[in-house]
Amino acid sequence: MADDYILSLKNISKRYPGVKALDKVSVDFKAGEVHALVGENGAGKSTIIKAISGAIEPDEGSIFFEGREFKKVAPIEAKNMGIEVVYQEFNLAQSLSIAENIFMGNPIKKRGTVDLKATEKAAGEILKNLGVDIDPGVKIRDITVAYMQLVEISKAISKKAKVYIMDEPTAALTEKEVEILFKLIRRLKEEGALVIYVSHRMEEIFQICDRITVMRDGEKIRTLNAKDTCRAELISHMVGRELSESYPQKNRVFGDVVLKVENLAGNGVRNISFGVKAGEILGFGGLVGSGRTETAQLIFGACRREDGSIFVNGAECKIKSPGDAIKYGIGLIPEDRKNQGVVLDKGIDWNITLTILNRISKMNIIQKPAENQISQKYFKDLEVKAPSLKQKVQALSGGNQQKVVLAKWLATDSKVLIFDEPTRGIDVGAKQEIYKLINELAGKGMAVIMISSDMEELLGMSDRLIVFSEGEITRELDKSEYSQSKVLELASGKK
Amino acid sequence: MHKKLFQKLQTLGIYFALIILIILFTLMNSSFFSASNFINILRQVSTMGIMAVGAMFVMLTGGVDLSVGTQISIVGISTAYFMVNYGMNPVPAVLLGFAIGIVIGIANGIIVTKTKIPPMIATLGMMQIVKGLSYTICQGLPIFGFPEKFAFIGQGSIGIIPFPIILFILCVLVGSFVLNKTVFGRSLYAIGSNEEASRLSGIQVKRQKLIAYIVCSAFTGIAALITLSRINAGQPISGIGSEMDVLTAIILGGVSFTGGEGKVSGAVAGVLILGVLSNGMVMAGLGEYMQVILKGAVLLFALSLDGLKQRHA
Repeated sequence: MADDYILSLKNISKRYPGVKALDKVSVDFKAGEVHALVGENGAGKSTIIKAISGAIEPDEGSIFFEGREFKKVAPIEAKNMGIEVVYQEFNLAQSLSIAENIFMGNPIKKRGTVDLKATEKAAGEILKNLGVDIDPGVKIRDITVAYMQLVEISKAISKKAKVYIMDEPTAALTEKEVEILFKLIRRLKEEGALVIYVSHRMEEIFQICDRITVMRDGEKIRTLNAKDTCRAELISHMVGRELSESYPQKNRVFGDVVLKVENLAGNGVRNISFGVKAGEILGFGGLVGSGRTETAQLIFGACRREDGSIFVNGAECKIKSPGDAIKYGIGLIPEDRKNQGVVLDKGIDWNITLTILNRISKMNIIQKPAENQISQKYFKDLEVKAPSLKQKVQALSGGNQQKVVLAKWLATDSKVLIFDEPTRGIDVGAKQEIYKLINELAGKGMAVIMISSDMEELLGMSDRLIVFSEGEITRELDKSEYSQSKVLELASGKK
Repeated sequence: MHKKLFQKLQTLGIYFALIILIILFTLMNSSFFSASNFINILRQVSTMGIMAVGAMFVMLTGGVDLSVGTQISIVGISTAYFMVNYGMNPVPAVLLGFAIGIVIGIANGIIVTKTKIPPMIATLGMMQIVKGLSYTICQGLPIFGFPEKFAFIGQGSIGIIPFPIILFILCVLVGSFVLNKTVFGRSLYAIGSNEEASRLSGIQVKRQKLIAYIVCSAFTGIAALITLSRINAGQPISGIGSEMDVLTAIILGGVSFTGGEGKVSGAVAGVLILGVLSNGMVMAGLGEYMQVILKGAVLLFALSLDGLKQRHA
């Protein structure tokens, strides 16, 4: 029986500090099938891919490829055996042509030098076969992201591999290009190759895949035949748990609408309209890149707004820069703490007052006593764990760094605070503290927007939810309509 | 532990180096250690020192201005031109010449903030343009014959202290006050440390950068006038190449090439080291060419320290 499988994982485990990324996972893959890997962010899909392609070394278990057993696979070994990965991040050389990129690593040579003509001809044939209508001589930097993805796929196919692993290959593609890709996948399948397909888009999975393996929290839940299951069953396997009770109790009273946006457009989103009341926590759900963060950046003036209006307490705001947003009482706790939130090589006090330099200065001269007083206040209020206010932020834990970011926004006396992934990368205890703080702020009448990829947290914290998909709001959900499967469905684009 | 030691070395090492150099040169030639020679050294480094204070504003943002050397020549030549060819009084001539330097600073700032050209390349281009302009104005010939009063800026003294040294000290005081105490100075450090976080904290990154380039040109303008007055002639070659000395001094003084870190006091120490080196080498009888080699070596040494610091941070 085992001989039917070209690739098998047996009891693969992989631990990272503090996380079990894979826990005794066994999956069998057949030649000539399209096999989907599905699961929420952090379920272990990409760790599986990395184990197969040799990017990481499993702690336990074995990988069987064509009957040979491997404890680990070296990246070059994987390539030589015919395993090709199409990653989400592009590995293309911007200043080289499509043809040169496709044949990078195995150039067509003539008398010791690269034969560009032959390369372009061969690349042209590959592209034509794929039904991609583009000149192989064009440079990568001059083509759209969708074409880059197709080139990336062509590059993998030119290697004539036995196993193709595609990680979210359609994320950047439009419908027409998805059609091209699917035609291609079907042909690879006919030729007897195995295609491992990772995607969040349910519809696609049912369109193209034969079998589906569901992952959750580093474990394999089960492998199903696509024709024997349905979307709802799949989602319930992916979610598979009840909401925990660890979110603070809330019985807040909402006030008037504080922030209202109408027909916001730009930065990859359009037609965004909603309002947030004082004391309310509005959740933004959706996949990464669906428009959640992009909308927050627009409101905050961090990106150029093409259309639409923003109102705070009923008055229209002219927001062209984050500085303007701050003046109107809007704050943003950004998703990338280290690169966007804190200045790592400077002190805690220094970081806290960065947003209020004008307020703590007279005639542009910073008043030390005012600076000390304000930073001391928030340092104490938020219980930042550090020996002193002068401590450089880079020496703090993730949770304490996040408190410093929070402090600098509380110092501005904001009316609206947008939290983008406020608990990413911080430990469980600190998470609880952040939840408590957010709730207290809402309790004091702050209008809060919370963006999160952690479904449990999003549903547990928010009073109301807006789900984004492909740059637009798919639907607004009331607390009574909450369910993880509903959000997942809306996020994958089904209205 | 290692890291702490390294940071200590960075902040204090420069002063030790200065002291060791002084001892070394005193041993080689006893007349090195005298009040008159120290005043001499200070006078020699005053222009470089003033330029260094200005250049720090730009360096802190993570930028660099390579055109400061040629700014010395164009400010000098145009001031000379106004005084000699138009017979202007020194005051309006100086103001006009100074204004030309400011215009170059504005141009640098606009290019750096409005285009995606990296500062090093943008100001390299500006350096060539300004050089060409200087030669065009004076047709390659020195301009001389200034009013007598004008000599005071570069050659006069108050008591026994030469006027350039007084200007140098004033510039250092003003520079460190602005960088340490004002919102503008704080913003420059923030931008250099983390530009995106600064922008998202409401700091007007582009405007502050633009002002930094203007401030840099303003200090350079003062240095240009001292240079002009001291050599008593507007020459297209004066100042050329001094941008490298300024850079060397600043980086030696612990100002990070990537921005966000450094003190005026450090930059001053860097300037003094270069001054002591070149003065001491002359007194020790080492030729001018040897000095050029040594300056290059010092620059590389300073940059490698900076690189090491980044890695340890």
